[in-house]
Amino acid sequence: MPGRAAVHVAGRTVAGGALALLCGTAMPAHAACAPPGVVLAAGAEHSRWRELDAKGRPLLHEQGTLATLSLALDLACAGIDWRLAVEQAAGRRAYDGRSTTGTALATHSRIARTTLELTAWVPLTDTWAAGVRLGARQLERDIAGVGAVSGYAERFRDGQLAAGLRQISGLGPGLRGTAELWLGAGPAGRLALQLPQSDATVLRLGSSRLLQAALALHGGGHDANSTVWGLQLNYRRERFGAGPAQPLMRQGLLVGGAAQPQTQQSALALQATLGW
Amino acid sequence: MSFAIKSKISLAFLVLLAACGGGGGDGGVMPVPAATPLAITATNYEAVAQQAVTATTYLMDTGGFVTGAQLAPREQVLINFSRAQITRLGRLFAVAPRLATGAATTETQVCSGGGSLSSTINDVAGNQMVDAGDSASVVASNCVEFGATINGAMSIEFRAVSGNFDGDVYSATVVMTLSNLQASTGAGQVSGNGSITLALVGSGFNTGSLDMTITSLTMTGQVAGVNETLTLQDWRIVSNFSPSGAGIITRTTVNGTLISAALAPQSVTVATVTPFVQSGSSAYPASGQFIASGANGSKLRVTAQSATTVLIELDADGNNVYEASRTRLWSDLG
Repeated sequence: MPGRAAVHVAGRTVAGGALALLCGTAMPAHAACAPPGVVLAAGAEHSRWRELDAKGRPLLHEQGTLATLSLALDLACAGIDWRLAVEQAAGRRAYDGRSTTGTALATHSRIARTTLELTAWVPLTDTWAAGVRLGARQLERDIAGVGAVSGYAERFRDGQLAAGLRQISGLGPGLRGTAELWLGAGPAGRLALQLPQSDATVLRLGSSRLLQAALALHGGGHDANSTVWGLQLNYRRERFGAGPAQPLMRQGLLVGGAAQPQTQQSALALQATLGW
Repeated sequence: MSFAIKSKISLAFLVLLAACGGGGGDGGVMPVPAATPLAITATNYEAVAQQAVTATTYLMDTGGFVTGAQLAPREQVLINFSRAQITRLGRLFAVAPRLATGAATTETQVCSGGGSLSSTINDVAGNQMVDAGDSASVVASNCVEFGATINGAMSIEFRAVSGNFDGDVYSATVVMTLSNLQASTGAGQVSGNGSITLALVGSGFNTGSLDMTITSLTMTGQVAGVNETLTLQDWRIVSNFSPSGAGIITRTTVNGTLISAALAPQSVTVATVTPFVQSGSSAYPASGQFIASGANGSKLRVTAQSATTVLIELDADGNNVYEASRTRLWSDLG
């Protein structure tokens, strides 16, 4: 339920505010807008997650495949192409890490991620465009226990601002290719934890950096009423700095401490799209 | 609280001793901090129960939980590290050069995640076997093991070793002394000072006991400027294990005094009324009871209701009437 998930996504007020700001500044009050388009995309992504200590030594890594489903609303107004998209990804990653007692273990984590993005493209030439994208994301990670080792759930929330370049090339009648490159960054997010044996707590994350590249092939759309199909390949790599350590308490007693270490995520996604 | 001593602790312990040989030393004694008994009240009895149960798990082979966020190391990391040194040092005895009786050898090894361990072995008999009277010491320098960076020192003294550790009948007494042994991660650190005496007896198939005695052991945790110190004094955990069906059943008693910085710092004295009984497949004991006593006759009674829940009761005025109680999950406490 992408629409419903979007309601809960982190930073929705930021995204909503940005939309209002962008619309208010970039769209004339009587701007001529083309009829909106809707794009539905479904696919899969290979997801990797690594956590590193302060010296760059690996603490744990996860990898697995997530199913993705997204819904986007496109609107072209006053020469700017707007896109509001919500994506849900869900699946399972193999976990290779340690228990709190230092024992190496392998298990899995269940992942559910919801992303809300607002993108604005401004044409530079007939084929090139510059873009700005504001994104907010919630990631739920439920690490399964194994044997006597308990699991627990985490919920990450963060936001990012990215700048991008896009080139669209005609590849033949009714066929065009698109290449996008994005660079982005985000402020410190939040991680909500409910660890066994301690009260629920929220950790601060470190700031993030993003590199993303996408290639897409689109066909169809010969007239205003026909559908547009597409295939897109998307590579996304992010680094999150380590967050500060925070005490874990239970009934006023210190029972431990936690910090989110430096984290690297990468994902290679393939999606099929259909637009109207 | 998990009393899962049985096969996990004992067998791991035995396997490493099996690599050694046959069996004596003295553990260091920490200065005992003065602490007055704590008045156990309606406002602190749950916290006292939590501390008492946690103090027991420090020494047990509990499973813990998976790490996603980086966590400050728990006290168990120090214990696990120390126990692992027994295995490692046992192997070093076997390969140490034969020297004149009483001569010590020193060897430095690289840790699995970086850093080093410098080990000094004193093979009294010079026979490349672990015997009573042999000893070893380890100095950790930024040694990355068990998911933490270890610094500090520990020593091991073999007081008695006998029997066949590949079989079912054996006995061993080992004293582990922690000297400002510290484990740290990006989320915090814990350090330990004190001695643990482990006496292990195997008397038949899946039958035996593990007796852990602590004259004084202080564990200090530090996280983001918050400190917590817990001292165990005259603390003793005795666990007897025996066959039960296809597995093992364990009966455990815990007795001693704990002093927690979070409790003023003041002390409570724990005494087992009924041994805690835990089957091999359970993470927690299904029956058993202990009483923690404080100032002015105040008492806290902890009773295992099942392998999942535990009853905590308060007698604040010492009249032997428990006027308040709560049922909690074991996993909430230990």
